[in-house]
Amino acid sequence: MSHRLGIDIGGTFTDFVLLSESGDLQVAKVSSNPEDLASVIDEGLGQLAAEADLDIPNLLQKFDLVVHGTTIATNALIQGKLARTGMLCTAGFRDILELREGLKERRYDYIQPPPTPLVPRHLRLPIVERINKDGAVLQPLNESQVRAAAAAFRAEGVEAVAVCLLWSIVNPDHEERIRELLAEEMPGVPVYLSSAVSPQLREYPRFSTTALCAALGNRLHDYIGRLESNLQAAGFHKAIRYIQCNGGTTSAAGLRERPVLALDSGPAAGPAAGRFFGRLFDIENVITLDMGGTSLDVSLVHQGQIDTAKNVDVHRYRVAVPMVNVRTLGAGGGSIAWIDDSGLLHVGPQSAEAWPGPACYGRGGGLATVTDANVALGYFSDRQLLGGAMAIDGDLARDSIRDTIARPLGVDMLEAAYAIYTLVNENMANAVRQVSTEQGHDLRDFAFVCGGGCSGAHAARIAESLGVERIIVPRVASLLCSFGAVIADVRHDYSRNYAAHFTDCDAGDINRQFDEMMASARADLAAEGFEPEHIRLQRTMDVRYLGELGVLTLTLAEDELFANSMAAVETLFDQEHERAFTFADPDCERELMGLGVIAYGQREALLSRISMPGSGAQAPEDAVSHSRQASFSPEQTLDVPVYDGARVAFGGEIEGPAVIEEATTTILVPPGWRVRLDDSHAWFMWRLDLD
Amino acid sequence: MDSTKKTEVDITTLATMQGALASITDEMSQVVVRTARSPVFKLAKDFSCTLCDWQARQMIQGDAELPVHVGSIPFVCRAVAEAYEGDIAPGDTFLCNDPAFGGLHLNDVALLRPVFIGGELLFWAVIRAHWLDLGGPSPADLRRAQSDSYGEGIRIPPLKVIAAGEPCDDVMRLYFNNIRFPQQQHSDMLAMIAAAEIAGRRLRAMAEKYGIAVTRSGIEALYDMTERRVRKAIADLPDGSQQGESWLSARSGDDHKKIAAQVTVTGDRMAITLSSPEQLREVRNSPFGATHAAVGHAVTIALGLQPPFNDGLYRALDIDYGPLGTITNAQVPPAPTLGCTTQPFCEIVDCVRDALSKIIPDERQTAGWGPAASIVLAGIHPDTGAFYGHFHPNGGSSGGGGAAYGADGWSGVGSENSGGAVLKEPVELLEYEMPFLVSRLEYRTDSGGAGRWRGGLAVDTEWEPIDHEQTARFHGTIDTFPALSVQGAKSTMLEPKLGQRNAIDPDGCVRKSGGASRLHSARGGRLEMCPPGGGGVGDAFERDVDAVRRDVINGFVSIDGAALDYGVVIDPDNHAINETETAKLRTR
Repeated sequence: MSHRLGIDIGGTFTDFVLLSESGDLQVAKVSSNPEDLASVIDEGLGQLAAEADLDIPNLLQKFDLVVHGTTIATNALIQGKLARTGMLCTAGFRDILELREGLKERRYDYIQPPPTPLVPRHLRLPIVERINKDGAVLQPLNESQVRAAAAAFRAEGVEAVAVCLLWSIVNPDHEERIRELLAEEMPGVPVYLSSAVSPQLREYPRFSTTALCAALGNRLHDYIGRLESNLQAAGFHKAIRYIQCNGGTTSAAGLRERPVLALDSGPAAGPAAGRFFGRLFDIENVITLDMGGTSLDVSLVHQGQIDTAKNVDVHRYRVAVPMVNVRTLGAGGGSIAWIDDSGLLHVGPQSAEAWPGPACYGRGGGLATVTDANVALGYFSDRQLLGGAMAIDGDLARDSIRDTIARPLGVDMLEAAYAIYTLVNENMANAVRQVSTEQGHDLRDFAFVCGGGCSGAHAARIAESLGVERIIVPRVASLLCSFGAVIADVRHDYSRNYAAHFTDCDAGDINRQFDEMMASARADLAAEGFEPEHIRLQRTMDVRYLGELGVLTLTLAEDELFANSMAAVETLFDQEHERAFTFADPDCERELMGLGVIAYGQREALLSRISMPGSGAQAPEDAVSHSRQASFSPEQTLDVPVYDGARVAFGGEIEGPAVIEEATTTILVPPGWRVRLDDSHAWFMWRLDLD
Repeated sequence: MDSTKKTEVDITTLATMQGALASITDEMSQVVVRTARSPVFKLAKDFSCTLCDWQARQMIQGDAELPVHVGSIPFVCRAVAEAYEGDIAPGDTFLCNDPAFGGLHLNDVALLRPVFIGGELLFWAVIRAHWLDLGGPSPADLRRAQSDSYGEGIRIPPLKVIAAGEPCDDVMRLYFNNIRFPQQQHSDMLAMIAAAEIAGRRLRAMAEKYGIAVTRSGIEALYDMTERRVRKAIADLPDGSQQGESWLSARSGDDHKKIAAQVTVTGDRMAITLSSPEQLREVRNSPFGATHAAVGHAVTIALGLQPPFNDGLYRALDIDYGPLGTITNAQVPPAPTLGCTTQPFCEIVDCVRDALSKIIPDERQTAGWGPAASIVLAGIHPDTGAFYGHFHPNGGSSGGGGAAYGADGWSGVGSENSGGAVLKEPVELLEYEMPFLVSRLEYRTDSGGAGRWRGGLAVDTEWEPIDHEQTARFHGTIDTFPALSVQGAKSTMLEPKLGQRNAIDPDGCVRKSGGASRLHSARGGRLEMCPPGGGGVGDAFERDVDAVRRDVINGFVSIDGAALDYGVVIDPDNHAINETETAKLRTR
């Protein structure tokens, strides 16, 4: 355990989180500026140093680790700022990347184009070679064709190459030989092999992942170089780690090997934070709801295990490495309410964005948003938000709802506001279902952990709709992911293609494969400075009933051995299948489709509490700043006390209906709920009827 | 018609109820796609999920479903409800695939489960999926052209197969005794039941949350709202009547069958009347359920409507399938209907589209998709000696999607009956499971229909059986008419737009299938499937010159194709545009 600094660069803000060995937490938020990374870092460090009464070099002396999260890869993909990428493919299969799975996402939309291929067709060059499913060479590699392709790439100014051959997962010889040839022909140009990047059966996900690595790599490496030299210039010379899409951290070298790991890494750190806060209350099953201005990110932790998925589309591009299973929904404070041509109300996914923002910001955004509904219902202050940093005009909120929703639908303003609020809650509840009940989880076993500025006003209602009984709102909610990044474990994934019917499985061979992967995992983590007692390994097996399309990934403990049979795995698989899909089919042959090892270098478990500057000393009843009218249905408007959260002492309990205003978030405690401030600066809310 | 007020369902309930219905069908699909076993089911996602109400009306038709599947579900649901009236209990499960009751081809089997709330039958969960084999004289679907429906396999009328949770073993034995892959299909049925079970749980939760009375009123209001949306879109069109046509090509000779549509707009109603020749003594007949779905699809696209849809969609439409016993209103028995989900489904969509293209505004024009090209590969597995059959609705390779005003067509997304919902099999998974190699799978240059907006390209596929002989079976005709192009779009270089199926012998000799419905590949030979490309929209000579140049650079269009189809002359060495020659060609 050490002092750590988290720097999380988002689209609008860059968050700085400083966490000491003993759990003291200090935060700073500055405006992002992708053009001038150095000044953003300077500004953030300056703020933290000033608060600690230090200068920047002295501040930097204090910590041993910087953890960095960045949207650089995601933004590059969205904006198409990609390396000019070439691809070498098995002859006859150059269009796999563009064909994807043959799926047109929207059946009735005849205008939406397919995604632009990461590599245009004229840079996807066929190479005569062929390997079969057993790894036998049916056609040898045509090396002169590779050299000719390299010449064509040079002429076209290709900056990175993806090598994507069929069955390279069982015999990588041709891909590896191509890398040697390209090193001669195009020295210095990065080359990614599909067999190395994502060794799994099924060519499209593998090729897509490889192409993403090639397309994103150069920009990411430049960026990492700039960041590290900036930090060095500021006087920091110790370890820098990066948050990855699997929810863990890795080194710059890890990202260099597989740049795709940097995709969507921002929200990926949310569950680590959720798990941490859950554990403060002895809760191992949590769902994080991170609701900001434009969207909601939902993710799940089950029995302390962060839920990941392996074949996910990121902006319509397939990624075949484990990613935190984050469900993103266009539901945030700025989401716009609108009426379709049949007269049905909708909320989002369009957003008023940061500018002009909700109508109540008074910046010309006349459209009714979720924030406007919160103001109109009395949940949010109609004078100011963000601890006074944002002035609010309540009349503008009510006017926008009246004009754009209530009048056209022939209802009064309050009913319209309540409809907007309830509808967005239901949309969010459906997103929660997708990561939980639809995967066979029972929501009564889970607690919500709220992140972002907006979720505190919605969580209780979503919980009621789903049968969730406990909610945690940390004071650090608006920086939940940045906090998650500094406490996240290091994580490395190792995988091997291994396809066999259970009846043909050789347990000895499987154990050998696991042992090899685990040995590499231990060596890698030891090289990063982890003592054996802080290394945790898990084995995974992808299993299906013979012929199923989907596989279930079974997680096995490190020391779980198979002796000479797969019987234990059979039982586990049947149970998991029944849990996830309502049935098991024990008479059916089971089939192993892949092996993996997940290696964690543990950090999070070493921290048992956090403390933050400034804690209140007052009994809750003395911390009431005022009261206001809040509506809990169009018919039920109550006079509700508004608490200044910062003044409440640890252990203070408040019963709903109540509103608690914190610096960066507002918590709605509806009738029937009770909330207590914990000494780790988190509000814990529970249903009264469950007391 | 304004029942929103009459029924007193608040706006919140309506909006959240709509969201819940969509979320439920999504969850059903997830369960099926991940747990189904037979390749056509799981790899091709050849199934659809929907929900019906207490009167068997369709509550939701989502974006994820196959247009051909979901458009006719209510007929089947109604037939089951009527056949078992007074004898439907919680835990019952029914099957039906009979075209006489709204079924399509026999392989598309609907599984229905009633959902009871407080003793009252309030909903139905329905999953319709393509089952691998329904018995009959030749294995694995798409058998040789049959002359009547009895040769197509087991026709299942509305039939209870699970009674109050207890499987009706006698019925199931009769069924499973008569099909070729009972284990696999039993597993597929488990997947469908799981989806229905999950839908039941969630529908019950929904009805309990809102109460039965509000739920009923809310569903009615959602229908009314969709109906208003459709009527408004129709009312925006000028009144009048237009004719459209398309052609079902003859297998040999030139006795092509004309399918015609008369579309009449009067105020906020639309009448669609089809006419076609007498039903055929081969598989390309459309029972009314399939025809209904095809017409519904063509109209939705032309009106620019986006899902979700429900029962309200059809209330403003008067659909006349033509006289019973004709191709578009086939009488079963005796008509075989194996082809109906692809051919003449696509021809029916196109004749309605052709008529509507003369009514709707420019910016809503769309072209036809590459006609369907299903294929079955079958043989004796060299390792096991067992028979295998591999079916794919798009023939493994896929035709091109049609262009739209303002957008080129999607390439390789199959035919329009699936609307791009059908997944392509991963080559590696296929080779892992089947005794053949895929030796080629790529775009066919010049296959997209020429137009200001180009049709999507077709994908050619070649298979090579390992150490055995292989037979390919198929039913559609793909080598006579190109996909429908509209608004003056026309291809001069016609041949590559059409489809073909070939056997390539070990000596390199190529045998075309022509109008035959099967091809045999010798040991060491290969089979090749080349589906048709999509149709274009608008005058090809108005296509942006740079877009043509980009197409040439990427090999979507050849140098010759650029000149012939688009009037653009491009230097083959440096891909520079020859402005003078281009101007000459384009001022024809």
